[in-house]
Amino acid sequence: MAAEGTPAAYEAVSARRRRGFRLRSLERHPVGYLFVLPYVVFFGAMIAYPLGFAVYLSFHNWNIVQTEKPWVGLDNFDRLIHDSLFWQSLRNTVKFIIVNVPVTVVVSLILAVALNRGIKGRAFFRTAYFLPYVTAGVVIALIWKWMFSTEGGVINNALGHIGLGGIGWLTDPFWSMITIALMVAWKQMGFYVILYLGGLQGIPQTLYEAAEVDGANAFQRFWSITIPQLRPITLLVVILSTIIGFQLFTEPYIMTGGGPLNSSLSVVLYIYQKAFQSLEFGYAAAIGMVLAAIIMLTAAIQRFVLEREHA
Amino acid sequence: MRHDARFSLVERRLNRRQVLRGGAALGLGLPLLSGLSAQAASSITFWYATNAQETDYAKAVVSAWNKSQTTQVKAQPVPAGNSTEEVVLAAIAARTTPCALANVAPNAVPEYGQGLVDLSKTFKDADSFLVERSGKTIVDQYRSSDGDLYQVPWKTNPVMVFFRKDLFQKAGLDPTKPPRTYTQALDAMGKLKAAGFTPIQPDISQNWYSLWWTWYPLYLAASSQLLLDKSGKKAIFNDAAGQGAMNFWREVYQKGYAPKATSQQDPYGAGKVAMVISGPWEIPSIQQGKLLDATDVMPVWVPDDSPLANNTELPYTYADAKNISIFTTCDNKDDTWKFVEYYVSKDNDVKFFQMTQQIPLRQGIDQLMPEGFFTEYPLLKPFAQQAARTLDVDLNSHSIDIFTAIMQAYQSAAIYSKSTTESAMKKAEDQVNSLVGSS
Repeated sequence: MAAEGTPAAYEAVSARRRRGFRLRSLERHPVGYLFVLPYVVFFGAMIAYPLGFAVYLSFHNWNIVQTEKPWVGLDNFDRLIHDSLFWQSLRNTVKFIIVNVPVTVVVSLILAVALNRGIKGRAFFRTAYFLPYVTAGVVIALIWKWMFSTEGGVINNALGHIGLGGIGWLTDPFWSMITIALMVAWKQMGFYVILYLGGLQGIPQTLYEAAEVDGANAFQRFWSITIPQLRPITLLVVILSTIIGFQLFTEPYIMTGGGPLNSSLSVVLYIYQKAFQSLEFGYAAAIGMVLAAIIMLTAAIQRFVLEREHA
Repeated sequence: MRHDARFSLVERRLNRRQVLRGGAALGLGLPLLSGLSAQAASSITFWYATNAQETDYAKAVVSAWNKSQTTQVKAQPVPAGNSTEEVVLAAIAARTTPCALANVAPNAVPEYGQGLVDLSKTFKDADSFLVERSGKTIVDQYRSSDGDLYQVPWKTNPVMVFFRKDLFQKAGLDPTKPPRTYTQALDAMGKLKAAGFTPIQPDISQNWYSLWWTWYPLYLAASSQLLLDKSGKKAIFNDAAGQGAMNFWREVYQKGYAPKATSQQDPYGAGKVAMVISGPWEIPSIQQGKLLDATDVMPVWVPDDSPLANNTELPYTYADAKNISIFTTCDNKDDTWKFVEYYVSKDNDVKFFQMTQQIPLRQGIDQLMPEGFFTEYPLLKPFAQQAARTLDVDLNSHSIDIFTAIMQAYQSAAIYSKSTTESAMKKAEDQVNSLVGSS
C-alpha cells in the first residue's frame, strides 16, 4: 500500500474518486445511460469496430471464409507500392478530381448567383437542382449509363443531329473518367448550390451599394465582392468535393466496371474488387489505410490554405 | 415539477441493479432463444435462383416433396445481393447458410472452401449416382483438387452462335452451311458488313465474365483444355489456341466487324446484328424480337488447322453450368442429400428442361424429352446436343483474378489494339502464374 502523501497514494485516491463518481453517476442517471446506449452501440458496431478491424486486417491476410488470419506484417503495404493497378486507380481518381472539382465550384457558384436573384420559378429551380443530390446514386448511375450509350443513347442521338454522334462516352478510355466526373458534378451540384446560397445571403448589401456608387459594373461587383466574400465557402466546397471524389465508387462500378482498360478504375472500386472479388481482405484494408492517409493529408493541406487565407 | 417527478419515478423503477439484471436477462435469453429456434428447425432450408422460371420449378418440386416426405423443405430464392456468390460468402462468414443451394457457380466452390460438404466422403452413393446421371467426363470436371465432389453438376447453358438466316442470304451466304473456321467466320462477317449489316456485337465491358461469350469459348474449342494445367499451378492458355482466339477477335475489331460500343438493348434480340455468341437464355429475347423463324444455331468457330475444321463433330464450348451444393452448417445432411437426389431425378430433370428451357447435365437428355418438345423449341435441340461437349472453368480460388488478367489482355490486344497479342497474353500468363503458383 502506498504511504500517505506520496504521489502513488494521491493517484490511488484519485482513481477511487473517479470510479466512485462513475458509479454514483450510473446510479443517479440510469435512464440517461439507456438513452445514449443506442448511439454508443451504433458507433461501436458501425464505426469504431470496423475501423479497428480494418487496421488489424491491413497487417494480416484473410479471405472471409477461413477463420485463420495470418500475420503478414507490412507485406500488404509493400505489395501496394509495387502494384501498378493501384497507382493507375490513384491516377484515375486524381483525374476525376481535377475535372470534377473545378466544374463543381464554377457551375454551382454560377447557379447559386442566378438562384439568389429574384427570378421567376426560383423555388422550382432550387428544388430541381437539389433533387439529384437526394436521389439514390445507383438509380442515377443507371439512367446516365443508358443516356451515355454509344448506340441509342439520348446524348449521342442528340449530338448526331449536329454531326457529332458516335462518341464512346463510357467505352473510350479517354472519355470514360471525364464523363463520370461531369455526371457526378451534376449529381452533387444541388448540395454545393445550397452552400453558396447561404454564403451569398451573408454578404452585406452595403458592399454592393458602395461599389455601385463608385461606378462598378455588374461583373466588377461579382469579381471584386462576391468571389472574395465567398472564399471560405469555395474552400469548403473544394475540400468536400475533393474528399467525396477520393471516395468515388458507385458511378464507375455501375457505369463502366472500371473500364475500358482500367481507365475509370477508382481507388475505392479497386478496394472493392480486391475484397469482394479476389477475397483479399487484408490487402484491400491496406489500400483503404493508404487512401485514408491520402485523404487526411489532402484535407490537412486544404485546411492549412483555408486558415492562411483567414489569417 | 411534474416532469421531474415522472423522471424520478422512472429512475426509481429502473435503478442500476435492475438495469444490470435486464441486461443479463437479455444476454442469457437471446442465445437461449436462438438455440431453441435452431433445435426446432428439423426441416431443410433450400435456396434457389431468383429468375421466374427457376422459381416456378423450385416451388413445384418442393411442393411435391413436402407432400410425400416427413422432413419438410423450406425453400426461398437466394436473398437479395449483388450476386449469389457475395450473398453466400456473407452467409458462410455469418454461419447462416442454407442446407442446400441450387445456384452454385463452379468457380466459386474453392472460395466457399470449408463451408461445403464433401459429397464424395459424406454420402456413399454420391459419386456413383452423379456419374450415372451426368457421365464420368462431366462429373470429373467438377471434382475439387482433392478429387472429391463438393457440388452436384446440375444444369448447363452451353455457349453457341445464334445467326440470322435471312441476313446471311441477303449477304450472299448459305445459311445451311454456316462458317466453321476462323477464316470462314471472318469472310462471312466481311460479306455481312459489305451488305450493310453489323455482323456481331459482343459485350465490351471490362467485366471478367464477358470473356465467357468472346475469347473463352473459342479458346476451349481450339484447345479442348482449361486455363491451368492438371496441377492447377501453371497457366497453359498462352499457346497457339489462346493466341489464335485472341487474334481472331483482334481482327474482328480491327476490320470493324464489331462496334466498340455499348447498346441499350440486346443487339441480337433487337434485330441489329447478324450473330451473337450466347446460351439458351438468349431464346426468350429472340422470341420477343419475333426472330425465331429467322434464327439458327451453329457451334463456336475453330482454328483453320483444327482437326474439327472439316467434320461435323461438335467442338468443346463453355458450359456456363450452375450446380448444387450442401453446406456444413446443415443439421440434416442426409435428408438434404435425399432431397438433392430427388431435385435432379430423371423426371425432375425433364420437368426442369420443360419449365426453364435450361439444360440439365443428364446424359441423353435430348432423348428423354417428350415428343413435340423440340418442335416447340427447335433452337434448344442443338444446345441439348452440345451439352455433352462442354468445359467449365478451373476450380481454383483465384478463378476471378485469372479471368480478370485475361480480360485485361483481351481489352488491350483485341478490342483496343493497344498492345500486341503476344505481349498482352504473356503479361496475363505471368500474372496468372504468380497467382496460382502461390495458391
